[in-house]
Amino acid sequence: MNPMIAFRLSIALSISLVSGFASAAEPAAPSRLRLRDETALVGTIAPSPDPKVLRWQSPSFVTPFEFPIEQVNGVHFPIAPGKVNPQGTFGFELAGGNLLYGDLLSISPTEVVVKLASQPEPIRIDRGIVHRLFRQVDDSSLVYLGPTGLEGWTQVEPKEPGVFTEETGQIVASAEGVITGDIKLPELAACEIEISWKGDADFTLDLGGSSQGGKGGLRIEAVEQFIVAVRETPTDADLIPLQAAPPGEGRLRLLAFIDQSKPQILLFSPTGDFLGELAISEKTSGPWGVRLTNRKGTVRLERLRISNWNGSRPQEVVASKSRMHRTNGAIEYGAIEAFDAGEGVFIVRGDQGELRVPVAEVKSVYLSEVAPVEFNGISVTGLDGTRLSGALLGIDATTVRVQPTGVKDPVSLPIERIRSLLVVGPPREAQTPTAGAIVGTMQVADQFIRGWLVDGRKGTDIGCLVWKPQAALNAVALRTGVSGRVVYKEPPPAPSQAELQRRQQLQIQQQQQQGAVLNAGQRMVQALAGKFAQPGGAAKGAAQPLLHLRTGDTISCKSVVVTETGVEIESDTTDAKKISHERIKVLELVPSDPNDVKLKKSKKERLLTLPRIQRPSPPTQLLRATSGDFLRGRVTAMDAEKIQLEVRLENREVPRKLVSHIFWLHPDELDPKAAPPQAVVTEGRTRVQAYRNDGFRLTFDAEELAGGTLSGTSEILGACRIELAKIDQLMIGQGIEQAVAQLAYHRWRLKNAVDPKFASEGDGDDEGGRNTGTESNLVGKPAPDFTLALLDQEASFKLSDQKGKIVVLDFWATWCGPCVRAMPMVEAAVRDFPEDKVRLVAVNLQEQPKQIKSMLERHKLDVTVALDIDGVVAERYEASAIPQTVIIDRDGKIVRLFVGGSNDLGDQIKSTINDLLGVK
Amino acid sequence: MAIVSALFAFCCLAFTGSSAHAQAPNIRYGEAVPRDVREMYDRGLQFLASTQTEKGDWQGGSDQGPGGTGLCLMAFLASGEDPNFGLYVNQIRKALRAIIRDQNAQTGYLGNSMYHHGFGMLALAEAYGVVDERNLWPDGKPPRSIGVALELAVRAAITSQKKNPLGAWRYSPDSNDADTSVSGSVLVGLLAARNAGIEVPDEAIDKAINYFKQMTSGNGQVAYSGLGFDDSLARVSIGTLVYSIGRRKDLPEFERALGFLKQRLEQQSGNWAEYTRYYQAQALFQGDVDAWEKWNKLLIRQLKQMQQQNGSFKGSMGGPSIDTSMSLLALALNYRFLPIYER
Repeated sequence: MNPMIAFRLSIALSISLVSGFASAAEPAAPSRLRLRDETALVGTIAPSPDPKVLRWQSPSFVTPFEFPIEQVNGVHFPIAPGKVNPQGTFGFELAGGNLLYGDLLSISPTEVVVKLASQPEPIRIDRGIVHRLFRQVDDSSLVYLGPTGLEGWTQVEPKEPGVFTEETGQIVASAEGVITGDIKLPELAACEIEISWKGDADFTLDLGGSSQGGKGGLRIEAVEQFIVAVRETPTDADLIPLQAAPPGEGRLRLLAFIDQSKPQILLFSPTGDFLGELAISEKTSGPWGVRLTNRKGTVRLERLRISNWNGSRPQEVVASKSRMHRTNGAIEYGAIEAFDAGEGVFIVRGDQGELRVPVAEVKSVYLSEVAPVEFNGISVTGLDGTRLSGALLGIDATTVRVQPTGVKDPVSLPIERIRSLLVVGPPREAQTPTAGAIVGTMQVADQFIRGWLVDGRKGTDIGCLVWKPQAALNAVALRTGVSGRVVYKEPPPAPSQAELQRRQQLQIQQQQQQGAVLNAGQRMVQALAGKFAQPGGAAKGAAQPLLHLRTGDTISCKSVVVTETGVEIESDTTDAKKISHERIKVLELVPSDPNDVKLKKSKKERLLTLPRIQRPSPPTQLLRATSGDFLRGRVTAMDAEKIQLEVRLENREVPRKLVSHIFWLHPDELDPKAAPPQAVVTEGRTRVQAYRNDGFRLTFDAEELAGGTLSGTSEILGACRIELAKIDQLMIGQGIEQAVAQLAYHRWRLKNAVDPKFASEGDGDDEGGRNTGTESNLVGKPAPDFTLALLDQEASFKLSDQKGKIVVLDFWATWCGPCVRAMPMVEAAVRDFPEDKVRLVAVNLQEQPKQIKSMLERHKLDVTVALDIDGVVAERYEASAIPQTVIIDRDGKIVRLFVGGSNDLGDQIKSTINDLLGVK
Repeated sequence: MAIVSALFAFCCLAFTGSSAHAQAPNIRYGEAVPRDVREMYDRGLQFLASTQTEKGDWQGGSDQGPGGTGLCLMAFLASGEDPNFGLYVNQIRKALRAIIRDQNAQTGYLGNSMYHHGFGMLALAEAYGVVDERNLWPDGKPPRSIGVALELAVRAAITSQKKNPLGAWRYSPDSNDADTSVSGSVLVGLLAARNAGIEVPDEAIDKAINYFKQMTSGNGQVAYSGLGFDDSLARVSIGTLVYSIGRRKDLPEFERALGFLKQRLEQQSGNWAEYTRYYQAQALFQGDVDAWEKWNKLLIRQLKQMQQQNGSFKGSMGGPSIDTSMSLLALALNYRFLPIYER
């Protein structure tokens, strides 16, 4: 492109013909505030009369925070569903990318006067900053305008969702991932792209080639600190550099015209500068879609507009001259002298003299070429596409008032029509923490706020946690009942061996200090210094039993006994003497690392499954022996010597020395939907849990923070004090239970056995509920081969030896009532067929021959029984529910698989065999 | 259909635990009644006392009649409070009067169904000889004494049985068929009357026991009406109970029914839970005290959870008075004050 001839193209029209689609987002979504220090808050803008301060009301805090405007990155407002149309006859493109909609009142040599729908008084705009006026017409060629959230977009990599998120409609990723949009580019497409990044730009935006990993279409890619446009086919490639992308923040705006049939790709800057053509004629197959890949840093797809293109190369114009584009395509060069609002005509003075052009014939009017404008202040984007940059004048409950650069009068914008408000300009240094303040990140209700806790005391309606965001002018109390956490230090990687040794030494020192008379608070603090210095919370080698509460707190016990009503303890770390059963999770009689208490997954699942018969009276404890054996029951008492428990209504006694752990199994844990029992009503209280990355936890109701020490009361432990400087996180409210539920010991929870489906109870009329035998995935597949020993026979049964015969496998067990009921039906159904054609084998699941024989004799059954001693065959046939009857055809293929023993099972088997034998 | 995972038996354990061999309890009188039971029972009685009508019965349930009244009356009698001078003397007298008033003076039929007749007769039998009749009727003009009422009721039951080709009972006293549920209530009533000293022909008891024998399967299940067997713990309990208090523990059917129950101590009845517990408690106690002791622990735990704030039990029997009285009577085996609970 010859830089001397600065052609501007009329295609610049398209970039501003924006009538915003809103939509998709939840109407009730809150607004979001982002600060320069990565703080993110939800809530609402509070009236902010001082233009230098933005006041923000978060639902989690009692009063608004006040942020200096320079600390604000931006506010993103919720997008209401539906299309928000611009109001006014004309769009006005101003310098610096500003765009307004309104009715044109007059044009003079010095100003353009516009009437906005949002305010009664007209505004006067310096004519020198008005680049273009365009008349609003219905834009039916639009194919896509967005993004409006993640709707219509699918994250394809990684499989775990969450890499791509939506922020006020824009798609954002800060980790590696790929997302595709459900957008089909028309064969002739005009695309406007607006994409921004932060950090080292390393992303790819593909238009086209979604089914080919992005190749073959237009690719916008960050390559070594440069943004380029690329088209690559199996044999050829072409590249156009677009702009530099040094580390930091950046944004690209681009117009692309794509003709897939040729293919041809023309690229323009938003102002119409021709950037180049990707010249590869090789065609690529497959639908042209949209795909965004992020590899590093943060990428944000801010805007993508795709419309049908008529295929004609945008008309070149002399961009430096003022002109008028008529609706019929003609261009009139000349000075735009005036607009007669009364008659509705533009007066243009060109080489041919004065022209009077009625509004109806006008498509757009170019007044002057405007110079780029740099400004500080704010930039407001409306849902209808309005963009205004300038100085913030103030914010009230419903309106943002702006003094746009070059506009002589203030402009009021209704907040309900605003999409985002961004602050432009250099940031101000964040405040330095006051002495003694410990900086962390408050995480509550999807908000992340850097700052620190300041002194506070529990009041009638407010808690004692008062948060001072580092960017804010004020500190505000957290509401009571709010859940979240303050993170001072993220959990570190697993400690090194040397660190473990250091902790052990520290622990020994602490043990030597035991015996000193300290109050409960001091002892808790002392405990922080090393008593729980092992990962997972257990002090390895400590001889004293450890009592783990359901809150996650751990108490080292000098003595412990269990009674009918709870656990009685003596401890150096607390004055508590008795703790009720419902508060306890584990008693470690032989302390160990929770992660070392392992059990094979299937065994653990079995151990923690509650059969239906026991539901009314579930076991309340699980004992783990030092040998690794387990026993479920109800512990009724434990003293220094023995544990008394009830097992299946029988009283038992176990020497205490044989037991390493007692897990408490709480009935409320059985129902995952039920609220955690300890998630006590937090309204009016600020329940906190001081947490250290070595596993220490201390839970109490916080009442006061003074001098860096948080104090309060625990229902169990009494008075508690904790120095914030010594903890890594402060959990608040229900976040405590959520975090604790993930701890190794706390995952030992009973679960109800799956309820049977009682498939046999269908009334037979309802075909939908009937077991047709074809539902299983195994039907139609080759039957897995197996060899099993037969009951009372020397020969074994090998399925593959039965080729040529129809085989019926009946999976059963003597304890399964429905199996015993179904077996005579199955046997009777098969009995009518010749043995050399149909063979029935009852596959018994993991039982002893004696047991099986006794049952067969009792029920006078004569069937061939195969012994699936280890359950492997049942597993191969996916017999997770029995009775299960499988019919295998003469070629060894599964043709039917019935689960359950419905009344018509015999008829179904007969009918299937008849079909296989070709019997009519 | 059974789900394998649902039925995995818990096993494994290599503990050297051993059964506790406590000294055999004093079966006749029992040991000290657990506090939980006392508290529960008292609250339950308070509920019944507070909901009894002036007429002496209990309203608001499908069980209204001498049978329901009889069950409530027995709950009071079983508490151990002195029936003539104790806390609930008025409730006991009112209930007795209501049952007697509801009796047909000519036929002796109590209420409108043989269920009512059976439970009403049982309650009369339990009160007979225990309640001092001198102060029973405030006007001093009883329609008939408890003994006469009971004797009339026994005759009515026997007349009905004689007309019945199966030698048992159904809802209507004139029915030609029978079921084990109604028959259980009438037979237990007759046995209680006999225990109380009323003459009940052996033939009547034998015929009824014979009916139960025919209805008991090889594995101890007891059919309802006809020969369809299922897992009804209520009917197996009725069978076990009538064999026990009919002094027919020698029968193989008794052993089988009792064995069936003992193998299912933890099993819960899906339907008619209160009715089931009422019979299960007596059947296990009469059949095998050790088994009852185990089951009783479970019962106490369950009922503790089920008792309402007002002392009632909310169940499936159609009304709070019958749910409560049956739950209390299941617990009353801990007291063993009712003559019918004697072993």
